[in-house]
Amino acid sequence: MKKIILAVIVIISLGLGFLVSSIVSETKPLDLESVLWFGKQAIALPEFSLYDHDNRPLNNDRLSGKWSLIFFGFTHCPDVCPTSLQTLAEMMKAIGDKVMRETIQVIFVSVDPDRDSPAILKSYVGYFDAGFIGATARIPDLEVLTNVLGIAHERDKTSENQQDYSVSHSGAIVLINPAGEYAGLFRAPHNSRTMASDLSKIIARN
Amino acid sequence: MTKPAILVLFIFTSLSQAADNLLVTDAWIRNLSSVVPVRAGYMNLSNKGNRDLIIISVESENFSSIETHTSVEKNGMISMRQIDTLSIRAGETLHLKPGGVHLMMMKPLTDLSPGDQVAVTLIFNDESKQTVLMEIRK
Repeated sequence: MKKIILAVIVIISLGLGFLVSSIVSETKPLDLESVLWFGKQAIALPEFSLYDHDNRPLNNDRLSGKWSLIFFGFTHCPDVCPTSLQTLAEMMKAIGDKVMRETIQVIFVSVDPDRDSPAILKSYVGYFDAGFIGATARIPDLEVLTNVLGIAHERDKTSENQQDYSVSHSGAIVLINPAGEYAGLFRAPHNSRTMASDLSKIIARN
Repeated sequence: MTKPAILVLFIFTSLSQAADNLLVTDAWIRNLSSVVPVRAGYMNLSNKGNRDLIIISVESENFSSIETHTSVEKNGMISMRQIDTLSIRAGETLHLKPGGVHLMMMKPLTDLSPGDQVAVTLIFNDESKQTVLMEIRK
């Protein structure tokens, strides 16, 4: 009788152990290298309205149902912006799963609306990847979005020539989840392989 | 070695120009859509001599002007800062690379496509010059 009770206790313990370990593995933090992932602490975005490279509205609705990677810059930026966009193009290629790739959209938001018209943005982003979306808006409209994302940008005041000014801006890439919430941040410098790996893990889990 | 020979050697050494001691490798320009009037150029500059080298300007017939810039990050914001000269210490290599020191090449004057080679002239503080070929890459 004692043996039977012991066997039952052992079986129950093993079962409980298995249950606990499976719950733990479900909630185990993702092993991410390049992204600061907010998980359940994702931040809802206020209603914003930009326009895209075809002059169509780019608002909260356009972020719904997709994983969006947003980089803020300007086309007259020769070093950091092209480097980041090229990294994003390589990241898309590195995500082998076509179905997963189609759930991701890359958006380049210009913080220099005076020089970056929709036509210029279309040609600029299309050079890196035909699927990339260019967008911009008047500065107050941009700030509705950049303020909540913590993306700083400022036109340099030291420029002598009004046409040749530079714009300082954040080098981070923002991750928006399919609910249209601010879900993570990739900090510069960016690496296409680690970004692809981290994004795949996040999408597979969520 | 005879005295005149030593003298000749000495004169030759002292007359060697800055440009003789610089080895340039991996020189390239990132191509962009033609709507963008600026490009960034990168290269490795290795000083094989025993004196520091200073590049005071960079020129090319393919661009209206070329400046030397560095991208600097401060409090999460990236800014571009113009730098007056490129200094390469004796025996060391200066890497011009994405996200750091680079050539800011203004207004391409010709159509450029990946695979093209562009001649760019580095001008040193002793007025010597060195022309390098930079490859246009996507």
